[in-house]
Amino acid sequence: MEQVMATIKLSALYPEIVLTVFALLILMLQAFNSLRYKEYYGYLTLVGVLAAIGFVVSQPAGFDMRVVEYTFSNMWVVDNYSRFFKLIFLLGTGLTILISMKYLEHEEIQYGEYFALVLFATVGMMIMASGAELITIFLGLEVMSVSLYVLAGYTRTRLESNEAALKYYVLGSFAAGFLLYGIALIYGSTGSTEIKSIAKFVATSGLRSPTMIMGMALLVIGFGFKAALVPFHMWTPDVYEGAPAPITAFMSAGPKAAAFAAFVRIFMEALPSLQVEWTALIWIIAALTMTVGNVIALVQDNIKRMLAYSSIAHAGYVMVAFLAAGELGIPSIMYYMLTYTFMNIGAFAIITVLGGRGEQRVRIQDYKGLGYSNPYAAVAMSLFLFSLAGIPPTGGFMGKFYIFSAAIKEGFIGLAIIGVINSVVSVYYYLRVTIAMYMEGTSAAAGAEGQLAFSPAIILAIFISAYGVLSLGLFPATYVAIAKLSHLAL
Amino acid sequence: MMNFSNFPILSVITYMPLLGILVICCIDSKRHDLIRWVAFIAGVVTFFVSLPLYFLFDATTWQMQFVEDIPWISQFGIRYHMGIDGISVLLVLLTTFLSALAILSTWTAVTEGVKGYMISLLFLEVGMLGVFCALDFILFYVFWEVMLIPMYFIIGIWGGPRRIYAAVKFFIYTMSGSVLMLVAILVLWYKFYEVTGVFTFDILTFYNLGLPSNIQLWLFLAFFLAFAIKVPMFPFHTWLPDAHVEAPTAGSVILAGVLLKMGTYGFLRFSLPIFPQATMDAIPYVFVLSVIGIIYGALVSLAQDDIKKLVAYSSVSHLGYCMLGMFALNPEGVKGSIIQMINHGLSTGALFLIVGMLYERRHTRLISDYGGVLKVMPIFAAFFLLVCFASMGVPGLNGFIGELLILIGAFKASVGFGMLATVGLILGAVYLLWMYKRVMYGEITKEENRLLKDMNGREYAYLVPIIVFIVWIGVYPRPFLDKMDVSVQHLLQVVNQQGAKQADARAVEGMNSNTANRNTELFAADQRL
Amino acid sequence: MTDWFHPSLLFIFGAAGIPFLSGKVRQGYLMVIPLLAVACVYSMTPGTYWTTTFLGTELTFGAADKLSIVFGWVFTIMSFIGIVYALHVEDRGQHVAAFLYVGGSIGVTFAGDFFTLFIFWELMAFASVYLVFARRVKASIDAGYRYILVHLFGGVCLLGGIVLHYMSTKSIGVGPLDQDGSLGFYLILVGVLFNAAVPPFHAWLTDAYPEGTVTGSVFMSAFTTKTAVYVLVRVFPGTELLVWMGTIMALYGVVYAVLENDSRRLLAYHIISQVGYMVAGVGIGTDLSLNGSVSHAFAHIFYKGLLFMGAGAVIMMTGRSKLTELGGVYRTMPLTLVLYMIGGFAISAFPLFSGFVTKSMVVSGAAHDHRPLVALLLTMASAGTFLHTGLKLPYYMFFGKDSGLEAKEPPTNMLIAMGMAAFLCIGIGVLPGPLYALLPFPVDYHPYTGDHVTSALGILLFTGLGFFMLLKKLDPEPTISIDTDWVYRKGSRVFMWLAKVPVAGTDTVVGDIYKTIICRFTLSFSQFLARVFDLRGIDGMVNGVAAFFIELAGNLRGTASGLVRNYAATMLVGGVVILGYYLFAHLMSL
Repeated sequence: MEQVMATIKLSALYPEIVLTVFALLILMLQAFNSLRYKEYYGYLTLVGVLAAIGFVVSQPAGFDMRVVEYTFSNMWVVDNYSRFFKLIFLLGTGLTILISMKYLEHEEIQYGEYFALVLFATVGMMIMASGAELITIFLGLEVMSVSLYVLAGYTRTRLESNEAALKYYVLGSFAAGFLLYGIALIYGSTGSTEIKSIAKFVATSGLRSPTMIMGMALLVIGFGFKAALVPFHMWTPDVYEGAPAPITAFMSAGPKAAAFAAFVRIFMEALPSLQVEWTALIWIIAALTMTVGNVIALVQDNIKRMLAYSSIAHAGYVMVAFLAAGELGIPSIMYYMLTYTFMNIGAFAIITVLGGRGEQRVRIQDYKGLGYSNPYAAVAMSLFLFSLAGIPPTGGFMGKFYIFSAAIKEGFIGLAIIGVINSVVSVYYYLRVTIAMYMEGTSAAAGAEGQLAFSPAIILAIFISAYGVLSLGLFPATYVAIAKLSHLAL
Repeated sequence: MMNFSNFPILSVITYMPLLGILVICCIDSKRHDLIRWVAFIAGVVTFFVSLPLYFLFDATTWQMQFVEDIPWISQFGIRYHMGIDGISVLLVLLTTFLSALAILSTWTAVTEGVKGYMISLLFLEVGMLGVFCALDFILFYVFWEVMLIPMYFIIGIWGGPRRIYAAVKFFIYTMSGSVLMLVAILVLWYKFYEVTGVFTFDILTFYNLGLPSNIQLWLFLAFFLAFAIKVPMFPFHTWLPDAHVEAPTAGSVILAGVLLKMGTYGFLRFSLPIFPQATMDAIPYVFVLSVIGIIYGALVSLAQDDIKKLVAYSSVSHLGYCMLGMFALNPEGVKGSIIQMINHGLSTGALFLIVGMLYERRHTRLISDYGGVLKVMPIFAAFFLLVCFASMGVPGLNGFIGELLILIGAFKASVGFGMLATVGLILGAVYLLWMYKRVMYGEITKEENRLLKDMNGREYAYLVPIIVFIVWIGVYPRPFLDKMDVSVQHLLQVVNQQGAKQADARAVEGMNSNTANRNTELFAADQRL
Repeated sequence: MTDWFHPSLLFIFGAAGIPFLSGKVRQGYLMVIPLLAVACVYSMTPGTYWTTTFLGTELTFGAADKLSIVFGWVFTIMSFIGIVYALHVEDRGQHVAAFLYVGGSIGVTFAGDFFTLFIFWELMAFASVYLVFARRVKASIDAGYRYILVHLFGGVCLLGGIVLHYMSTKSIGVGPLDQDGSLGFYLILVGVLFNAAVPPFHAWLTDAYPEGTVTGSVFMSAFTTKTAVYVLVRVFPGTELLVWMGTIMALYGVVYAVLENDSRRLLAYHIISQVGYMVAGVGIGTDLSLNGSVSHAFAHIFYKGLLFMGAGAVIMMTGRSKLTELGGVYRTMPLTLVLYMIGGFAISAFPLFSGFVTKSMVVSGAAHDHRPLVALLLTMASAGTFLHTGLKLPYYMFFGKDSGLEAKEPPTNMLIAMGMAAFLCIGIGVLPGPLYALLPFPVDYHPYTGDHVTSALGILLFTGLGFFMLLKKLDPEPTISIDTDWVYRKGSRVFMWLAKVPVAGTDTVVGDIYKTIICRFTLSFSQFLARVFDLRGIDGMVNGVAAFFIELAGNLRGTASGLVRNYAATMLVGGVVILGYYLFAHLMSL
């Protein structure tokens, strides 16, 4: 494992730069030729995303060697870990764009800002993944969050949307306070914000000062909010319900992954020596998150809300892997987030289409008879739901399998049992949707007025997600191999 | 065998139905008959492709045969490992056999959503075949769970009035058992890794692992729950009547004929050989549960007014025999248990088909709605009576062979339980004959019954083949029993390890080391990757 | 293989042909098969044939020795007579059932091992029940259902016994069991006693036989119980218990017959009585008594068949079976009367009739074995037999008050069948030699000694006298009239009381045990299990778990109030708790 030390190396920033450029480009275009080519912004954004993907894959060189590259005087790191996460973000962004274009046209809010904001948010996430220094990570987090606050309220005519944006903003800044305070405490007790030097300091001095531990705890709270862990999850259902469906899809995948990326990096690289302290805390949080998320989801009638709670539950599963961090644990987090991006965005793609104008049709009973009025959509939806429930042969199952095997390997059998029991509980509310689609009579309640057309873009998005879910479930070997290689260089 | 060792016949059989699904997908969903024919042909082809298994099967060895073994997810040592031995070969054949007939049986019963229905049936067949062929834990688990989905839809979409309740109950109940099994599998996998430093899920590798008995106990319980729910054993049986009653005929046939056997098969393939210690300790408890199940199931079915529910509860009783014979842990018992799985598949399957015939004619399953049917449907009556006899174990029919062997085994193990089990025989006759009497004999009380038509050609086509086997096994079971002889012997050797040590521990060791080497290489390979 | 052919195969496979034939062809076919069977038995030489291994044990289908051959003779011949009697029947199902039934009992006779025996045993039960069902009235169907259940129970006992026996001795060959009083021994015994209709296992017989079809009952009267007797002779010779069971049986049937009004049920009770002799003979177990049992079974099959045929003929022609409704048909059915009376004399052991030469063997078997009491009781029983079968039944059926029925003689085939049976009854009685020659043990017994004949005649004549004196008292619908002498009245009263109260009482109880108690109790219990325990109890628990989660969810749902301040507060509380926890931990560590 060779380490390249360079103070300034722009190539390490190419993906982020590309995205930023495209975001600005779109803004400029809109500013000058007022909305004449608005329907092309989406494709332009996609080009940017693809370009970014290209850079991520190519830098610094393929996936076949374990390169850890610290630049900008140890504020920035490019390693397989961050690159894998970046790919997840870009994937999520790409799919979101595919879903969004038709949606925006349909809601008549087809402006460039939307895409620009999505790109900025993505950049924020990528900074979080690559930040090797607490302030950098915090900046990334803020860039991401601020863009998301706006996006959540993007359908400004819908009250729920505005409400969501406001709640998200208020609570988000509240959590940011915790986070920042935690960073401050850690800096105070170690004298550095660089992950590497913190790690070195803690390791050498074997420091156990209360301020240090408090800082760690505050970080847990801060990231817990972004990752929607119990008891910091309260915002999730309201925001997910209120935000425009494509943005909900976007939020549920990328930002979560970003939060985990930073979370894991800080705790594994900077504070491994405090593992004893945080194990108990995370154990409880994981158990609570899984259980509360799944149980409350049982009685939701609004499908977006239901998926919000389910995303809380999934965050709980990821926390199990976080605890079992090790040669299996961290790759399993990546694998799971990848799968989750596919299946969740896939599900939301269909929700977006069926939601219709002003998202009137997002209750479960609106899906009655979908299996007969639109069999393909129903089949795809069932596939994503079964994957979320963790039924083979879908990626969801392999992801759970990966996580629980890691947990058992690290000896968290109790947590694993809680987890599988939870996944049984979760089956019920995923099944409720299939029941509505297939079993409550053929009267086609769905597919009625105001439904979006299945535009090629959305179909492509659904197809990609479905392909991802199945290939992750049936032929996981390659993905697992990549995830293993992306393991943090501890 | 050798020339077949390179031909993946098991995979071909397992995925043959998928071919049918592909074809069906290309057909316009309006053309029902075409879809039915394609599905039926797919089923029949699968059956005929599976026939060679019987003739090429070498009954002189307990080793797995027709083995296919390629890496699947090498990072975990998960392999695509298929193979059958004397225990599974008959079950595979039973599956292909019943599936084809089940498709034929719902020709007219299901009229809407035929496309989805046939796809589900074929998909279900894939899952079941996979379960019986898989020799890798994860592969097994995948098939085991996959099969829930089509069954869930079959019950939930084409089922009776309470179908949704039944479908969800079936899905969640069975799944809640199997997830704990997944945890147990992972623990087992990790324990093995601790000892050997090798990741593997190869089932055969875990035989005679010699785990400490307390761990064995817990893992055994986890597996037990999964399989006991599937079987279903006494306190875990309540999903069965709901699922059976609501499911359409073909669903019930498959459910009773094959799905339940997956539980008993699981015991034979996993619980017994992997946790011999715990198995020994569990014997008395399993005996108690089985005997309760036998008598309880019989008594409860005695009280049913719904023919289908009656048959459903009778399964609880019959499967009790399987468990009893299996845990008698002597050759008679185990062989009886296996042959009884086949018998129950045939006779109960036939019973459901017969109930289906009545239902198609009268659209009621209440016993009180019938009576005197004998007068209008004499041929049907004869078949019905024969199947009842088979199910209650009348000599000369298949049920007798299984129950006799099981009873001999049970008596050898414990006279008391043997006696209690024999009581079940009488009760079995009581509820079946009483039902038959009320349905077929007496005066015709309902006017509708006067016009009932006797069996038609299609109904002969799917009932007669089963009858043939019912009689064949009853009169001359040798060809079936011979296939399992050696495998059963070996299984028992593995279970009661004394004696197994010198005889075949060597072989098992050899196998272990082979797998070990294989896996270490692969493991190294990933590191290099 | 070639030197021996299994008669059962003729019947079992012959049955398969019946449904496809009709008219004269079928009738011929029906008669040819039994004749072939007779030929089979005729050509039979003792030995062991047709062995095969099945489930790893040696099975013998053809174990032919003198004992099995003699039963083979009587079964095949009787099957011929019975078929002739039933030739006019159009219901092919009955013929099929009858053939399978006969095939079963012959199979039992030649079975060399318990396993084969059991299979044919069950075949008999399932084939014969159809002969009851075939009458197609509700009473018959219910009776048949009870009949099959009882036989299944007996069969299960037998099976259990066989399995136990096999496990203890590792052999399933049919032969005398060592009387170790083991569980297996008793289970097999009970299983056989069920078919032998030994009280208290007899209720099925008097329940089902009268409900069978006219032709069916003839078969049933011949085969089931006699097959059981064969097994007893084969397996349980000299079992002390059987002596007394048999004796009680002999009396039981007679005494209870007093109360009976239905002609065929009365005969059914006499089957019990007659089989009692055979059982007792088996129990005594000397060569003489065993010979007695066998020969008595031999003779009994014919005369009881004859009696059933006669009674059946009357029932068929008049459509009535109650003695009180019959009477005075002697004018129109003289042949039937004569033939019937031959059977009556035979069963009553009149000299020169078959019963005499066989029954007396059993009795003297008892005497020679120094069991005077048994001998006496058996003799008394035979007196009672004559009283009812020989005198009472024909009297009320053929003579008695004229019921004004204009019944014709039965169809010719029935008369022919009865004729054949009658011929055998007399033939055996006059020339017992051939029969004795067939018996399993060497016979040096001469029935026609002076004292035998005279004592027999004495008993019978006095019985006859008594009958006509007590005529009124024995009236099926008893009305005590004052004018007869008080001795007889008292005597009759006492006798009637004896017959009614204790015996009738016990019999109803025994009869009802499986009808009422067991069925009702089992039913209500299973109702409870199904409706309450299963649905409410177990299933309730399962659904309860699900319900609990939904409930919980409903409550937790309230936490999402939608108010930012609450959310913030929750976060804050969570944070404070976490921080407090660490602070606390730290303070502790100090």
